[in-house]
Amino acid sequence: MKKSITLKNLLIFNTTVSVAVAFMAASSVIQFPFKITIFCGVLFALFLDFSHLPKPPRIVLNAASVVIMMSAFMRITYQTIIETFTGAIMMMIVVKLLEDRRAHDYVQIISMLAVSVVCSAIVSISQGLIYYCFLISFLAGFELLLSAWFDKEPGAILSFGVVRQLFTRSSVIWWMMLPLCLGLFFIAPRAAVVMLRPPGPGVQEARIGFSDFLTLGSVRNIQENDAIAFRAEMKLLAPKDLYWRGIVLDVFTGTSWLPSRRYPAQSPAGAGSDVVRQSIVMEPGPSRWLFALDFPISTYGDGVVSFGQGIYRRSAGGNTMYSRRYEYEAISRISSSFAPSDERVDISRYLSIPDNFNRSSIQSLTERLLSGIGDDEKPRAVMNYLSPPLFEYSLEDLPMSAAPTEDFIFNSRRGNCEFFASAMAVMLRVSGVPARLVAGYHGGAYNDSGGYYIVSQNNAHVWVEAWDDRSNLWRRYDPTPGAESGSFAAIGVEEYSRLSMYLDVLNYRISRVFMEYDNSSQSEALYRMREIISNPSAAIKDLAGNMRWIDEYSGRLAGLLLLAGTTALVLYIALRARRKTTEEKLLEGFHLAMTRHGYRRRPCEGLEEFISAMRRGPEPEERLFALANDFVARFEERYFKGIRIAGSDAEYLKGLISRIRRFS
Amino acid sequence: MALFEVKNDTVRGVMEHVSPYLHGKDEALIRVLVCVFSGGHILIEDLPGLGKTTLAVVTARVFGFTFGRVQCTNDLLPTDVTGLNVFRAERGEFEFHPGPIFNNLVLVDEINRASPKTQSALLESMGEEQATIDGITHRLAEPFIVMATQNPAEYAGTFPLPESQMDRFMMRMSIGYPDRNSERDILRLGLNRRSIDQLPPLFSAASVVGLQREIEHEVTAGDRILDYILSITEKTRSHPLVACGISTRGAMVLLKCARCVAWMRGRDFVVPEDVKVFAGDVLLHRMQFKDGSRSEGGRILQSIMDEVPALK
Repeated sequence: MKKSITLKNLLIFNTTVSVAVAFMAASSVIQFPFKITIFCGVLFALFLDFSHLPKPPRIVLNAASVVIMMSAFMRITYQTIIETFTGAIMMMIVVKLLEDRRAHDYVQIISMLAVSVVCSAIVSISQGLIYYCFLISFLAGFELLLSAWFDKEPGAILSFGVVRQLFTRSSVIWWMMLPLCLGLFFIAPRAAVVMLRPPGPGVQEARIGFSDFLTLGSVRNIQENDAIAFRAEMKLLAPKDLYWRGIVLDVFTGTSWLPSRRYPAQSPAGAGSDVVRQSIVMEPGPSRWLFALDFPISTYGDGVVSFGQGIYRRSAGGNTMYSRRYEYEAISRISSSFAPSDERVDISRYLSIPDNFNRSSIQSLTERLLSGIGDDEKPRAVMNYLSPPLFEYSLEDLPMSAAPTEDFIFNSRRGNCEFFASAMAVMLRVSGVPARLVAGYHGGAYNDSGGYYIVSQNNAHVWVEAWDDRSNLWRRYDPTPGAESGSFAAIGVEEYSRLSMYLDVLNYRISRVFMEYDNSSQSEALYRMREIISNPSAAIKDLAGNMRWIDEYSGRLAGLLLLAGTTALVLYIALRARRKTTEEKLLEGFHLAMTRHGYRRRPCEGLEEFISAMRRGPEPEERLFALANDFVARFEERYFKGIRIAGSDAEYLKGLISRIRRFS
Repeated sequence: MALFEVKNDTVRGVMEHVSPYLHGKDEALIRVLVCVFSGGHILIEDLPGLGKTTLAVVTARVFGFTFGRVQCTNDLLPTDVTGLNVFRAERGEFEFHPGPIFNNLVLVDEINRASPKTQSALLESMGEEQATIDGITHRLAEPFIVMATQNPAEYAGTFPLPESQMDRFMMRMSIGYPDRNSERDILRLGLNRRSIDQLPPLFSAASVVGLQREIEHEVTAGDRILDYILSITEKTRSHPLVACGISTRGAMVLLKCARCVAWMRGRDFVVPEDVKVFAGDVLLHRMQFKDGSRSEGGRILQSIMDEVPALK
């Protein structure tokens, strides 16, 4: 006897498996009471399916769905939008399961399951969820096939052969879909480059960042850009500690601040207890400075050069633009003051004011302001002077004159961080306190799903470091209004909704896995390939000398190879698997049609033998027999003579089969 | 009709023609017809008095065959079967006197009573379709069909046919008791040998040979049927209770028989049912079963047939 299963049971089975998969995927997302309710609900639904108890009426269930959705909307908050949504969807699925399901209900259930898995994948970024996604998409394909059949023929009984065939078909569909998705994945980043950028030669000007010197007003240009500067994977810190040190600007020219050509090298200061490790990925941009939390003890990465004073740069490599992401590690001690470890601070350098700078007015201001105040109190006093309401933070109407700092102090009194910092540093220098500017970023939005800070260009910031002669420390002062209280650090944070954070995690993780995937790496790969073809031995030597490259990519390579291998294997099996001949299909169709009337052929029975055992009698049975007999006679002749069945023959036989199937 | 529905007009004609003489022996008749049209020999295992001779005589008459009869005893000599050279003194030379074997249809009664020597002479000529007497080979008549009988109940003083010789016979069959109505008819009408002798022939020996050729050439046995037959023979060879399975000759004979059945059913191609109908009659006497399962032969073969899928 051939083994068989009813279509309905198969559908229930597949749906239950899908629910189980989705449940596992979503279990980290949905809350505990939901979990229990859903689990019991599914069990109860299964019980209802296999007992002969009546199903609850549709109207009750529809009302229940409405109530669930309403209550979900009531509880929704900005932070937990997806969690609530997923939980509500799972509840809706349970309600659906309780119904007396028709084909479209199964389709609804499976699409809701897919949605809940995708939602869970967005919320809890874990590698495992990709498998759930694959699994549910496969199950969904199978379910669609089954429910399409269920729609046409609810009482069908499928032999295992047919089930296997359906299964193979849905896997073929799934595997055909996969390259498309992967293709989109590879095309999308390039399409974004092409479509989102205005055409024209100066494509790279769109990127922005700190350059080697700071002309007053230039930071504003950076701040007005909301592109992401870098992401730093690290623990969560208080906003006031988020000073990302970049450049020390200690040479004042009157209009701009410059870094010294080179600082004496500095050995790392001893690590204290408050050490934070960051792994930072910088977005492509012009900046050669590497940013790390104040104060960086050490920084590791490809071609990192230490400039002392906690300043690090990457080697230029002849480029003025970095077209790739750049990844490095930094260790910092969180502190607002630090000791220069091995150098004696060259006081005169941090006190110098250029000759062409008119210092008299500032001098009179500071003398009036700071009379009778000790050196270590002066920075505070200057900061107090530079605070609202006298001075105002603004990104508009910045003083843009030949002497912007004086203009700021005496006339406009409106400006952004660079003006405040510059003014403070100049005032300190004039009053005899060594001071310098530090440019970098302040603040950042913490993505707690990903465990990293997103620091965007509008977090760009400039602050002041003043020398404390008594304790031999550089102390950080931030004269920009609101900065020290931490409110400035929150700039841009509110722009990130929960959802966009999830999306950013997704984007970030994928781009880290397939980092370096952009135009340049593609052309590089092409170039390398061309080299290998044109000069194999040299290329291999080169490659061998460059083993690190292999080391670095071997993991990813192995993954890709595995994927390619399985794809090839599955394709091979799918292609090699003998395609059913028309004869086999017809025979199978005939068997199915006859099964509907309760006739099942034993494998050892011949067709004539089979139909001769049919019930004979009055009208309907005789007509069914006539149809079957017609089929058998025509089919048999071609089949056993070894004539291929095709064209009109096949059509006629198919027609007979469908007449037998519909016969009643 | 228990076996199958005969649709071939020629065969129907034959059956209608002879059925008045063979009361209720339709199944046996069909088997005989299959053997005649495919040129095979028949071994009838049955009790005496069930109409074996009548069946043979009627067959010979209706096909226009010459008829020979050998009644086997243990002192029967090979030359009694094949014929012998007799010295004619007046002409000073030997003259060949052909034995009963030089007929189209030879009825060999109680073949297991003949001595092995005679049996093998007979069986050899069945296989070779020729007889060699004193070094001279004589062709036998065409067609040449042997109907041998043996009594399954009585074994005393018999020489059972060697198993290896059994497959010279296309079929081993039994006639069985007629049903009550047929038997009543036989009793009422009595056996009328004379009227059988007046039965007009429908064929000639030559036309039967022509029909045999026609069946051989016109009826298609596709690869699927060949595979079906091969699957059956393979299964008999690997079955745990079978000591000796079907030989290649057995497979050929089965195919020949199936062709004939297909033709009789009015088709020009073979289907698995044609193979199945006489599978037992054709195969069972060719198989040797392991000790203790000899009497189960029929059931074993049935289980083998049930395992082979008719359509793939």
